[in-house]
Amino acid sequence: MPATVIADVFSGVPNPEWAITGQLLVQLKLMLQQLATAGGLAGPEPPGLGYRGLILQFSPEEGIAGPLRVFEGYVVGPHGSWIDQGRVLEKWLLETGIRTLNADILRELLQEIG
Amino acid sequence: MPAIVTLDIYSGVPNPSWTLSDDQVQELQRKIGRTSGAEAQGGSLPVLGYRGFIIRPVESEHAPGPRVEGLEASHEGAEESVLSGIPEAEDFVLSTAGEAVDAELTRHVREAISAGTTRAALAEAAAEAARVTCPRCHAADAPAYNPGFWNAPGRQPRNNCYNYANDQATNTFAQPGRASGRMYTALTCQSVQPAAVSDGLAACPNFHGALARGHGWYVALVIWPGRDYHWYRQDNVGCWSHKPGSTPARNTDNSGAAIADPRTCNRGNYTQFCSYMITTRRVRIR
Repeated sequence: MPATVIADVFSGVPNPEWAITGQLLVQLKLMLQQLATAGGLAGPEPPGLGYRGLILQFSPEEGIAGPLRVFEGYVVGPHGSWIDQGRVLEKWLLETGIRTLNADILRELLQEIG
Repeated sequence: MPAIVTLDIYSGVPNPSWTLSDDQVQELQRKIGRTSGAEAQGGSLPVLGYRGFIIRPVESEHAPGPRVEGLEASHEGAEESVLSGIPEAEDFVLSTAGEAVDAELTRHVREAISAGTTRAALAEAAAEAARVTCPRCHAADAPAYNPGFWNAPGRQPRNNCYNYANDQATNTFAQPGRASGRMYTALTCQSVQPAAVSDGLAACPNFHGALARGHGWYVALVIWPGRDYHWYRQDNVGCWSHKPGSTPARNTDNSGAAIADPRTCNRGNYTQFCSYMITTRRVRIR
């Protein structure tokens, strides 16, 4: 799959994950390109239990080093970090999981992101 | 006396610095003076991200300048002070940064300053962690806390809380009951606990009974109702540890405190405590 989103939220049961392809993938790349650098900031530490953000993984041909963790206004990857102003990317990514995520979970996570 | 101020925020790259004029230092001193003594003892917190400002008086030819009054020294005997936990003074110092701090970073720091209650909670959690006394471990087989083994790149993402509690890295993201053909059917205590029993675990009322060598160690099952389950294990030091999903193994709860008892620790959404259980080396999981 060109890109995979994993909602990092569970401990025992596997985390939900879904693919991003086609026009959504093009839009995702544009959104990533427009992020401002966070200048070395690692962002907040996710909690141990509960919602820990969205993890983005890319296939090698996409040429994007990952995984990237999108959480609380930051996008953190192996080679840098960026600012997700207003958590726009995080909300958008979560909404792309509408066909995979349980409706109650999706609603709870969107509420958590605010 | 002017001062050099450093925004204490980065871990890898150099922190931004700029100069406070004599007038600005006096204004800062006034703002610090308006806060109570308790507030003024914020000190720098050992957290990632914004930690405060370090203020160092400019030295004259013959002697260092006086330290800013009402702030803690950055370390014993230091001339420099740490400003943290006094939002009005922090906002003022941030406003003097000019081009030394760009707009995005300013926004981030301003948000961090206004989240003063969160920082206070972090400090309280750190203090709480230091106060926790681990209970005695009564299980001779209890594993040692060894996060390095579990957090290795090839192992961490493939093993979950059930693997960790049972001290078995199967690399299968093990599920209660899967190895014994009786996997849980609902995310409730009534469904997950019997599934674990079918794998060979046994429920018990507490973790105080002596378990001789060969008789296993204590674990605990909790539930995020309808969503997920989670396991803790008691290590040989008496405190408990866990591995939330594919994340690193750790020995602290959601408040950052050491875990003396999983029944009472901060478990986030996992509000339902099912029971303590005993696992052994004979248990099979998959």
